[in-house]
Amino acid sequence: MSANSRITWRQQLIGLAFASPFIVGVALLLVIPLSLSFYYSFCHYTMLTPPIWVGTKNYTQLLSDHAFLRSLFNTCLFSVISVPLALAWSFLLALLLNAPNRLRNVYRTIVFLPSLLPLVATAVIWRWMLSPMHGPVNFFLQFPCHWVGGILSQIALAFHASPATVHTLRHLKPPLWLADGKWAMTTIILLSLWGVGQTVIIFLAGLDDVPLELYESAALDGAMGWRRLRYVTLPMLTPVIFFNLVIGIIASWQIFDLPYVMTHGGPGRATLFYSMYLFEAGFQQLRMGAACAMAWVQLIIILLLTTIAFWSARKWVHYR
Amino acid sequence: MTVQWAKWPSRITAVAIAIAAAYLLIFGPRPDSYHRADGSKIRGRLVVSFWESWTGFEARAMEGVVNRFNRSQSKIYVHVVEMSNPITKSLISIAGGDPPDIMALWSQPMGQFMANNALVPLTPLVRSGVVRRGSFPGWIWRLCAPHGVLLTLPATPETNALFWNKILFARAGLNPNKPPRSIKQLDQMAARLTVFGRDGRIKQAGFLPNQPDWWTAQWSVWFGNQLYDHHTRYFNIDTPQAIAAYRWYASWPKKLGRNRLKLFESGFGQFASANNPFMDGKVAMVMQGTYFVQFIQRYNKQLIGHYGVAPFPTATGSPRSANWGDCDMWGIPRGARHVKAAMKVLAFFIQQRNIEFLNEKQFKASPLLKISHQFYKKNRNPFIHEFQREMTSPGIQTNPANPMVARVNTEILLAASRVWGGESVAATFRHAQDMVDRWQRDERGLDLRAQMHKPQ
Repeated sequence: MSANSRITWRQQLIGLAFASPFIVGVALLLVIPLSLSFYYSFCHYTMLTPPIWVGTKNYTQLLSDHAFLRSLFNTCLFSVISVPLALAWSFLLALLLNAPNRLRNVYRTIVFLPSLLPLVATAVIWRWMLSPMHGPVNFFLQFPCHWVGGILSQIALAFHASPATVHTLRHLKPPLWLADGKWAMTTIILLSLWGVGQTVIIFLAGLDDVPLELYESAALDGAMGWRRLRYVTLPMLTPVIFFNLVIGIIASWQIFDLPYVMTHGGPGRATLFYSMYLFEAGFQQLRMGAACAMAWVQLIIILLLTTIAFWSARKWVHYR
Repeated sequence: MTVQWAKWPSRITAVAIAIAAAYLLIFGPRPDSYHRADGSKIRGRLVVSFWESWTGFEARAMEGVVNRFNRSQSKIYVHVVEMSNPITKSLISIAGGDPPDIMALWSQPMGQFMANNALVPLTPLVRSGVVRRGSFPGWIWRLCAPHGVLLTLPATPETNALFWNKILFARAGLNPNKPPRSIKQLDQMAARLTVFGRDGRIKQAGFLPNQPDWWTAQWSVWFGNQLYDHHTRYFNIDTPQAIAAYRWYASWPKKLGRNRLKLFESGFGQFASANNPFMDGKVAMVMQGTYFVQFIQRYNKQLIGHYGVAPFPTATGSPRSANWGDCDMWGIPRGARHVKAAMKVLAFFIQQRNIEFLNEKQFKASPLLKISHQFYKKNRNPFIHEFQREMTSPGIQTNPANPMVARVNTEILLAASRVWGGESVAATFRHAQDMVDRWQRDERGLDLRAQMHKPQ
């Protein structure tokens, strides 16, 4: 017994020695920075002078910081709209790309390619594409807008709409995208769909994994088309949907590059996102204490949302 | 036997890797001896690292001065690293304990550097008589020596002026040699210079206060506002003059149509390009700095001789009563490894012939009060006399050395963007003032606590 326990003890030591690079790495790069950032979140800290303990002031001040509240609202809005939209769009693309076709691999490559491009390059290209004056998007939208505007103004006239409404409809113009505070958020959300290639690939793998016999059974029972999708494909894909949902929630709360390059948070603060304001507070205004507090609030929000997702998963995710 | 053969591929791979590694060690790439800015002595010379932010012709001018220094002696070698956003990088490097020996900075971050004790005082340069208070115009000295202690040296100062397109003036029936002197005249001339197309779109604007939007936070200065009170350390954001300034600012989208203006502005190219709205004739008058002359010569030669430069109009109509000044500066960050050597380098940079060389190549005015005839002769900026005269203008305001400046400017910019969008000027700026006042109260409380924490 004692010999056995000695061997176990020795084996444990050896195991720990082998695992030590990971343990040391986690301690140095995760535990210590996390602990320090937690401590700094209760301090006034500029990185250049010693931290001064201010208690919970950094946290309470966030509640009256308009820029922070705006960034929180913008990020919530982005997350609530973009995550389900990206999931639905990726699923639809995956279904289309899963259909038997001679050029299927070519289409799959085309859909995946944008996610290989660096986000900054994507942002710069789209900024030019969406330029209201010189961008190709608005160039091609001009004619349809004119046409649709004409029809709508006629309908408005028929319904005795106000002259101002008729005039606006008659002169319907393409949106100003990033230059217009009302459109900027929508534009960023739409552009976030540009890089869904990886989600599509995960959905495709999930689709390949659905047992054929289930489809055969469904066909024998007379389920085809929509019913097959609703009662076979979707339930079998719920683990994949859940995975993409969790990853999507986390990514949406960390969005930075795309709006930083495209709008820098503007116009006004229409596209100021949480991570952007955190970066601004920490590295531009040197309020590292406030930035640490923001990072902890962000972590708690993400943890909370992920927990809710996991809790709800018990009700709708079906594992085989 | 088969076992022996099976080992061959792995042996061949191991030998190949060993040969490749040996080759890389012996003949592979290694840092250039002068590019090792680690401060060790190389070829008998001490390497002083210098982080600066200029690119293009401005960087070449700075390199010219650095080359002069490197040729002038054999003990110190200045290694220049050109980078974007050197302020953030320098701050992080200071926090990390590995800053450069000399860094470039300007007025806005000065307060943060000062409040965090992040710059080495240049007192030895004052004691040895290399520089003195009387060497520079008062506003430049205040920038470099906030609270009387010299922390930086001025490199290239700049003030603003009105640039106007004489061809567009003549086309609109205006006297091309008579720029506006007051804001009222500016508005009237701008109205005559604005051209609409048949479809109602703007084809040409007389003036746009947000083009470029670099001085949006400072517009109240030209309306007589004292943006910062140096005695009370108070930011004046919602004074009657400031409200008047932003009412004027907000009047432009109302006059020209908000959406029409957005569409028009979306067609503007980058500042440093031939599609700059002033250079391609889309905007007839702009506020710009000294350096703009060089950009015009570079990107639109056809405009040379067809544009004028004058003091920017003020609300009162008296020229030179208001202006905004800024200055690129050099400083030695705290924790620099070679402070003495860096001082020697700075003492060389600030010599009259070197500072004039730098500013002449950048088409700028000199920060020194003593100017040589050669400087005027060699400087290819045709308006250098006007800009040099403006250096000593009594109405120049600058960013104060207050750590809140960046935050306050952001708040003013945000308020300006709101009133541009149609919100009430008085209410928006009152709100901005309240926010800034609250931050200032917090900051002062922290200042007091920091004083208490200081070791006696």
